[in-house]
Amino acid sequence: MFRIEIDRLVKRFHGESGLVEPVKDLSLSLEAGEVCSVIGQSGCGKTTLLRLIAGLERPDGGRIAFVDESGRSAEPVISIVFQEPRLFPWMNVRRNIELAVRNLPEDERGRKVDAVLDLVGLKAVARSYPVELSGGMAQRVGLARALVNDPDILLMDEAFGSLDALMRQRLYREFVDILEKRPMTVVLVTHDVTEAVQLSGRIVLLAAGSVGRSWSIGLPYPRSLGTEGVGELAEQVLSELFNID
Amino acid sequence: MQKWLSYAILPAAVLALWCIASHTGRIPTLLLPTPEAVAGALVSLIAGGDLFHHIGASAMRSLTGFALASSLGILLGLVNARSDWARRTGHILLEALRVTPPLAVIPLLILWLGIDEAPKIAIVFLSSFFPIYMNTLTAVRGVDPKLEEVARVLRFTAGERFRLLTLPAALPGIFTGLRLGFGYSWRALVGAELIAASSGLGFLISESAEFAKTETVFVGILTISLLGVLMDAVLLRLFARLSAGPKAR
Repeated sequence: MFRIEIDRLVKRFHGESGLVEPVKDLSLSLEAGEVCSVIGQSGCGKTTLLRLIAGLERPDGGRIAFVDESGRSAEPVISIVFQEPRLFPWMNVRRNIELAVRNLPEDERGRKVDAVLDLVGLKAVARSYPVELSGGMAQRVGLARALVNDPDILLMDEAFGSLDALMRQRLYREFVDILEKRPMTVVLVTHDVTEAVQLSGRIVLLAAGSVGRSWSIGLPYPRSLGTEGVGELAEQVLSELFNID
Repeated sequence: MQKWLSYAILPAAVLALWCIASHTGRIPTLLLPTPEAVAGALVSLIAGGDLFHHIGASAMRSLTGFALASSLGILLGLVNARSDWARRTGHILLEALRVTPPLAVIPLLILWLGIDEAPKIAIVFLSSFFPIYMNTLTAVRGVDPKLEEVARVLRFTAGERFRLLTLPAALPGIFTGLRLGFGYSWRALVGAELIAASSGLGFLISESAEFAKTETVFVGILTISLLGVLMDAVLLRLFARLSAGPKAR
């Protein structure tokens, strides 16, 4: 498992309205196997932070280090679930998922894809093309593609946002089960405070590009909206979120 | 049956109008021969084997020029879409060539390539290259950047990126370029076969016009049109087979 050490991270963009700095001197340490939700108002740098961790953006300052169990810097397997499914429209569901494990031997690849299809409840549509799926189904394919290669670090950018409430609750449970069986370090960017409280061990509130506040959550898994303490904590985080301006 | 009818109804109406116009005697047969006269010329050209000889000669020129234009157009489109340096380097020359009518360079082509097959194939090449090149360039540059990011996250090699992402994403655009390019290559034949040709549908048309054999001119034009439509249908079927997706299953 990998720890993520983020030290004085800076990211700037040159937009039409001048220089924008969505990530500003941000330092954060994520423990190996920790599920950390990153919340904050729109434009606070949540998605940019995720993209920097994924290597999709280069930082303009600071550094991100991935540290393995022996304490050495190493290159982890990173998967990302985007806000939208981002499936290859010319490939069916199965082929889209297989892309993440394309270098494995055929029988092992088949087993892994079957298992993850079963997990996200999409076995019946394995041969369907993305255009034939509902938005929620397509997002589950994106999730399956991210999970199939047993990542060390899983990055999720509003990954559950397009799912209906029932499917979301089901996947929350499945997600917690997966993490119990195969722990990994997870960074979950979300607008949904109750989602953050149900799934994560820590919530980090970003404000103006750096860490504003964080909450450690000691509630036992599995959690639901009815679990004692979930509602209270969600209210507390939400009121803090409203106070930022 | 209804679908077939909707395709046939307009050509049938044109044929009916042609029949009426040519049989009234108001238009001289030199300008508008009757369909029967054209059919008679067609039968005699088929019986003598001349038509197939001309079709063969034209097809050879058209397909050779088209094959060369396709190979180079797709290759250059792929390279220029991926390299800003290559695109900038070739931009002015390619744009200058693109806006120059191929027929305008016939005298130069004759001087440089002689009067054999080469200048005719060059005309076809120049006519069909740019639709293929431009469509390939646009299609490759239009690959969804969000999918490019997925390819980065999944650590595609350069070969995998081309095979699994760029090519399938750009295929519809490349196919459109090939269809347009083939149409242009066929259309350029008449111009190409004006260059000291002794065979080909373009030659058949221009020679028949000189001898005022309007019905043979019609046979040549109709043959070019029909073969063009037929080849387009063949290309469409081929592309549908090659395209992955729910419709292709």
